[in-house]
Amino acid sequence: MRDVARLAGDVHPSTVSLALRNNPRISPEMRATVQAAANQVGYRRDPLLDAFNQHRLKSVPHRASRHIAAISDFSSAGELARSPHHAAARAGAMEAAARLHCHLDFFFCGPGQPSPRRLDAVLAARGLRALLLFGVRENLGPTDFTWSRTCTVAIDSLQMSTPLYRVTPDYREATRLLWRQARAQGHRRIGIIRSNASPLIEDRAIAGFLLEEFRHPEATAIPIFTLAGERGARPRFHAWLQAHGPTVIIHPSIAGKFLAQLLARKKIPCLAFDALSADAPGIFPDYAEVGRRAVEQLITLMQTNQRGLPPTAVCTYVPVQLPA
Amino acid sequence: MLRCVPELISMFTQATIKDVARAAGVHFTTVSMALRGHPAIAARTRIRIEGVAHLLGYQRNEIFSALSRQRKKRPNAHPIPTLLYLGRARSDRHFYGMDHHRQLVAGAAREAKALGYQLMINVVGPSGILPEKLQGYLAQSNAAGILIGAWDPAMEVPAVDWTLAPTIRIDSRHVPAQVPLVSFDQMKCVIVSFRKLHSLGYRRIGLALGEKDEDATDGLHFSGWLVAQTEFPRLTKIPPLLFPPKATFNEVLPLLQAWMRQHRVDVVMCNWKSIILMMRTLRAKMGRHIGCVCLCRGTQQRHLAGIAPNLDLVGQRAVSLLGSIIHTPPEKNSTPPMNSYVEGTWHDGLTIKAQS
Repeated sequence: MRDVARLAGDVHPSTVSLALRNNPRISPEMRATVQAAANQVGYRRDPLLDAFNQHRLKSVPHRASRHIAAISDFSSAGELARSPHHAAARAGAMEAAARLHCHLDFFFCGPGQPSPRRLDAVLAARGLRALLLFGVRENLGPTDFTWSRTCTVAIDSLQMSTPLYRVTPDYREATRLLWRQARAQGHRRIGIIRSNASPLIEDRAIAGFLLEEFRHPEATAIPIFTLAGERGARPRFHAWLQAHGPTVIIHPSIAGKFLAQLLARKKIPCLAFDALSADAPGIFPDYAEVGRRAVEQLITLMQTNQRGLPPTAVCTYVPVQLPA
Repeated sequence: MLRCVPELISMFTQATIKDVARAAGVHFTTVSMALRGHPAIAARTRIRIEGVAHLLGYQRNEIFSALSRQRKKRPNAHPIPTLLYLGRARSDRHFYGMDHHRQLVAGAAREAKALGYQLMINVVGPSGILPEKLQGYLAQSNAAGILIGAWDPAMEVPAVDWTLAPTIRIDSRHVPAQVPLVSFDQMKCVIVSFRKLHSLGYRRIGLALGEKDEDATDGLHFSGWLVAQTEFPRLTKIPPLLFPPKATFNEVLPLLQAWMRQHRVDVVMCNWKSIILMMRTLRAKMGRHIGCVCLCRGTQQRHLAGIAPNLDLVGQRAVSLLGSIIHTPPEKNSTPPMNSYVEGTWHDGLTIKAQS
C-alpha cells in the first residue's frame, strides 16, 4: 500500500485505502490516480481482510462509530413499538447491527416531529451516511432527502415512488400458502378482501391468491371484496357474503376488526396474510428476518460506498412460512 | 566506482548478475531488485547499479525472469479471493454469444471488482467443466463464493453439493439448491406494460408466454397479468396463450394467429424476443395493425416497445448479495433463502401506437 501511495504522488496510505474503497471523500481524480497506481504495482485490497477488520472492530469500540439512521414516520418510539411488525423489524435490525458492529439511531418524522427536509439537514450535520427507511408509510419524494449523500435500504416502504433497495416479506407466497392450505382442508369457496390501505403490499398478496385460483380452474372463483372506507361497506359486504358464500376469508390484518364485527355470529374462519402475532390465525411474516436482511444489505452498500439510489428499484422478498 | 576491474570478462563471455554485484560491491539479489525497480532499493543505489550493469553490458533476460517469477509467485503470493461464476451452455462460444449472459457477467464482474474479488467465469458443459466433474472441481477450488449464472432449464442439472461455499443463483429455479435467487421483476414488468398499453388506448390486450418460461419464473408473469386485470375490471379478459415447450418459431406462428383471431387481440405482450418477427410475418395475414410489446427486450431491439430487463444490474446485485452472505454468513438451518428482483425499464418503440 505504501508503494502505491508513493507512486500516486506521495499521498498518505490512508488516502490509498479510502480511494481503493471508492470513498467519496477522496476526489474522483485522486481516486483514478490511486487506482491506476495500484493496478501498476499490482496491489489489491483483500476483501477477506476487510471482513477480518470488521470483526476486529469489536475490540476497538471507539473505531466502531458506524451509525445507521433508521427513519420512521411514526410520531414516537412508543408508537413504533405498538406496531407489532415494526417492533419485530426493529428487534431484527438491532440484532444484525450489533452483530456487525454498527449502531442504529432512530429518527422520527411523523406528526409532531421534524419534517423530512429538516431531518435531512440533521443527518447531514451529524455525518450520518447510512439510511434505513423503517416502514415509511407516506411517499417521501425524491426531493425530501439528499439521497446521493447516503447509502439507503428500505423496509417495506412500498408507497414511495423513489427507486430503492427494499426488503419486504413475500406476501405473494403468503396468500398462496394460505389458499393451498384452505383448499387442502376442504374449503371450496375461498374469498379474499382488500382494503387499499397499502395497495402495493396488497397487490402482491392478491397476485398470489389469483395465481392459485388461475392454476386450479376447477376451483370456484369468488370476486375480490374491496373494503374502501367503512361507511356503506356493511351492506355491500353482506351482499357479497350472500352472493358468493365463502367458507373461508383471507384478508389484510387491517380489515380484521371490521370482519370480527360483521362475522360475530357467523363461523367463517378469517386468515390474515400479515397477521399481527404468531398466534393469530393466518401468517405472521418474519419481520425480524426482514430487519436483519435490510441491515446486512445496507452494510454491504456502505462497504462498497454505493451511495445514492439504484437505477431501478430492487426488491428482496423474505420468505414466509405457515405456522406449524 | 568499480571496485575491481572485471578482467575475467572477456569479449567472449557475457557478464552475469554476480559480476555486476561484485563490481558494484553489493549482493546479487540487490542487483536483481534494483534492475526491477523494486522500491526497497534506494534510488541512488539503483542508479549506481544500473550504471555498472550498463558498463558491463549485463541485461536481464526477460523470458527467464518471466518464467522464474511464475514459479516463485505461486506459493508465496497472496491469492486474490475469487468468486466463481458458473454458466451452463453447450460451449463457451455459445455462452459468450448470448447477449443476456454477456450482460449478466459484465454487471457481476464490475461489482466483484468493487468488492475486491476477482470473478472467474466457467462454463459447465462439454467444452468447459464437464457436468460430472463439477462436484470435484468445486471441492478443490477455494472460491470465496459461487454464482449459478442463469442456467438453461432445458439442460440437465449436475448433482452438486451447493453448501461447499456461499452460493447465490441468477434465475436457475430448477437447480435444487437452497440458495438465494436474484432475477428480473417479471411481475412488475407485466403490470407496467399493461398500464402503458391501456393508457395508449388499447382495450383487447393479450399475453403470450412460453410455457417453460412461466414455470421457470414461478408464475410471476401470470401474477402480474392477474393483478393488472383487477386494476381495469371493465376490459375483456383474454385468456393467455402458452407456447408449448420446445415449440419452434414456425410451430408457434399458427397458434398465435388462431388465438389473435379468436379473441380479436389488439396488442400482444410476449416474453420472446422473436415476437417482433412473428408479428411481421403475420401482419399480411391478419389484415390490420396489431401491436406488440416484448417483456424481455434485447439491447439491440430499438424498434421494439417493451421492457429492458437491466440484466447488468441483476448480475451486479447478485454479486453484491453474495458479498453480504460471505461477510455475514446466515445461521445454519435458518429460514428458506430469499428472492430479490430488479425492476426493468420501459422503452417506447414503433411496434405500438396510440389508438383512436
